Amino acid sequence: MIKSKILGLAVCASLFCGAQAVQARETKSFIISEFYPAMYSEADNCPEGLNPLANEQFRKALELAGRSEEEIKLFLTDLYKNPGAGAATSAVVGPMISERARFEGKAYNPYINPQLVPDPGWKAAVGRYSYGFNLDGRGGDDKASFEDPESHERGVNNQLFRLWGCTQNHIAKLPGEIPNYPSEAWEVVIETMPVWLVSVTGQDLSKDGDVVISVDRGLKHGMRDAHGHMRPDMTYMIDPDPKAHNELRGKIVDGEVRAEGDALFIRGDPFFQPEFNFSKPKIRFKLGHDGKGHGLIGGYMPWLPLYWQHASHQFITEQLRGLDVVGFYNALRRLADYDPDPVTGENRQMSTAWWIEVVPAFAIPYDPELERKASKDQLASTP
Amino acid sequence: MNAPVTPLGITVQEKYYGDQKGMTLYVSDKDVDGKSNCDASCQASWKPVLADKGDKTAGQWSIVKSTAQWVFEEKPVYTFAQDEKIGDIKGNGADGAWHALAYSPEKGIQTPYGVSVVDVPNASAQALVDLRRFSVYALQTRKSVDDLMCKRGAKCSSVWKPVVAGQLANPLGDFTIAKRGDGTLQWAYKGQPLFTYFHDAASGDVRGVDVDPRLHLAIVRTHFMPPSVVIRDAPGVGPILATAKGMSLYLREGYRDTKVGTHYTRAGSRGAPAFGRMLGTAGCDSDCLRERHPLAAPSDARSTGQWSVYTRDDGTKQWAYRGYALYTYVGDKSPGQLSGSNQFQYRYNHTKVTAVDMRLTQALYWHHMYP
Repeated sequence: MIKSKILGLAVCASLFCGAQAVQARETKSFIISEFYPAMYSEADNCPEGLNPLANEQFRKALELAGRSEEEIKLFLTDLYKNPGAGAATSAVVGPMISERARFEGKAYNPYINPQLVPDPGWKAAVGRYSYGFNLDGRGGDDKASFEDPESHERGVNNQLFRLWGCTQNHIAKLPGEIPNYPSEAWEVVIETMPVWLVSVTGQDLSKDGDVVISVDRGLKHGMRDAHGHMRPDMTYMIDPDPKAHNELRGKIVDGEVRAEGDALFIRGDPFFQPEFNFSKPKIRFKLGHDGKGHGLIGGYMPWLPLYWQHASHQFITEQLRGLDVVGFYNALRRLADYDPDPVTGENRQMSTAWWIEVVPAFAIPYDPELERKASKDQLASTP
Repeated sequence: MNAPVTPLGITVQEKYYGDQKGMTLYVSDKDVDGKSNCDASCQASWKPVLADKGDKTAGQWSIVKSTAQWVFEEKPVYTFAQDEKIGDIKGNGADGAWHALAYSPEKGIQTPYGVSVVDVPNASAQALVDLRRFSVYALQTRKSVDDLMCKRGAKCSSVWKPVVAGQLANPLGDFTIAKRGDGTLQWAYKGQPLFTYFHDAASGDVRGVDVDPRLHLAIVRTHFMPPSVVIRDAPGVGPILATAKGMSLYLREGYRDTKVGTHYTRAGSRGAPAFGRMLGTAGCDSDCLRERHPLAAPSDARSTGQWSVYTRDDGTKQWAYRGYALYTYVGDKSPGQLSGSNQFQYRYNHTKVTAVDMRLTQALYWHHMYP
């Protein structure tokens, strides 16, 4: 059962008394402190092996671009003379990879023109289990679906897991292991990105029953504790922008919060992903004895922002994250499973599930006077 | 009434003053006492910058009556024929006598140790700051100031802190020394004792404005701002540009990969004027105009200070600030809303039948405009 912390009635009144379906009497708020693809990697996910790391991937890309063995050797040598960003601007290395797209004999940027580069291929995961939700309602009849390892719900749609399941820096078996690159990216953005707030409102949160889940954006970034974790019980003002507010409806069942809705929009950060625009969103999480909660947010989302997350960093992505952006682009288009384009028939969205950890917090309405007197650190986020 | 930084038609282009088109202004060491020594052959390369009929002198700027040439602090100003675009300074150092006219708020004013003049964008002004570069406020009345000056046993103000002068400090220019009730000395500007505000948390903050009617920001000169524009606070971001009715103003910005950070940086994004100029009014096409309304400028508006006037395809004029054309967003329903901010448009080419040569940016996004 949720051991709820009752916020002041004033907060409740400001935030949730407009919720008609539930006579709000109790609200508990959290910030999302961890957020990354809900990976549940197992040994048999990748019968054809993993997607190649940078060296092999660059070799393949250069072979596909028609480069000679001598050129490829020169490239790989220079790459490690000029690691990181230096390599992208190297006169030798830079153009070979960063301008490998071709159109009418001219060189172009492949990350902006991925269709102008031969598809190097992409290995996607197979398997029985994946975290997630049954988004399309087809249940176990859907042969392309998974079974959730915790809820054992069948018909789970999570193409995001399929997409990343054979890429080394994403492979992880949550909750014990966390995916390397996504967690690293998250740790960077939460330094400046305004927090994502989740508030649960119900008549008695210690019992099963109806709840309303509000997902809001805060006005400042999360505060860390001495261990670098998100500090619990901090107070955050809610962004009054109507676009920053979402409501999902659901229940507490056996102590687990479960809710869903038609849409969920959260602004992110361009370093990571500018926005998370879910269709048919679902959320579930359960609180532990330490007050933190763990669970999932899932739903369909446009694949283009997922592409942005990696294409925007161009060469750096390919070298340091070890993924071929062109292969990734084509995989996104192949694996998208929702929202067909009425003209082309091509799916524009992809089923996803994201692992979340939530930490208790206090969410208060925007107060300009309080903000005016806030300290420099408290004002640090500028969304 | 504070003097303006620039008269109408003189612009500020980041590091240098510019003419109405933004082209860098120059002064010559050979010109003295406001008189030009640039003859006809010299003027083939160095074109005098002339005031329009009816233009008035302002602040550091005057006009030579006989020639109508603008003069900055006794130096007639020119543009250089070989400069091709805004920001060019090809004439800087020519003949050992020509200098690009650098923009410097401290020019023309003497300040004592511990006080300086800087641009304070949040007030659209050049203003005094203390040693930490925090905003300074001037006491503009002699009545009921015991708490501010620690006089007659009053409890000293806990939020207004004096800009302290050393016991051996001497008056300098417009700066004099006021004696406080507790015996300490305090700098005064034009006779008005100077303070900082406790709740200003960083350089550039002007949170003390409108807090106490006795105190005003210590402004030296004011920047031009169109009458249809104000600076107002927006939730979570502080001061932004807005219309006179309070509706947030937006610019269209190109994403730049900063490797470890984004436009959600702690200091906010003020953009790159060159990118704004490159985009011009093309940042919002006919589809976009359904959601974004250009900030209209009068048909006779002139580029001044950091403000430019762009002409849209339909012939209407639009205000631009620091190179960026400005817009309101129809989705904002009330003053202070920022619903139009941080909206992305990805610019990837998904076809095989064309190619996009776009090294500059992969996405355009809308962002509120900081002062």
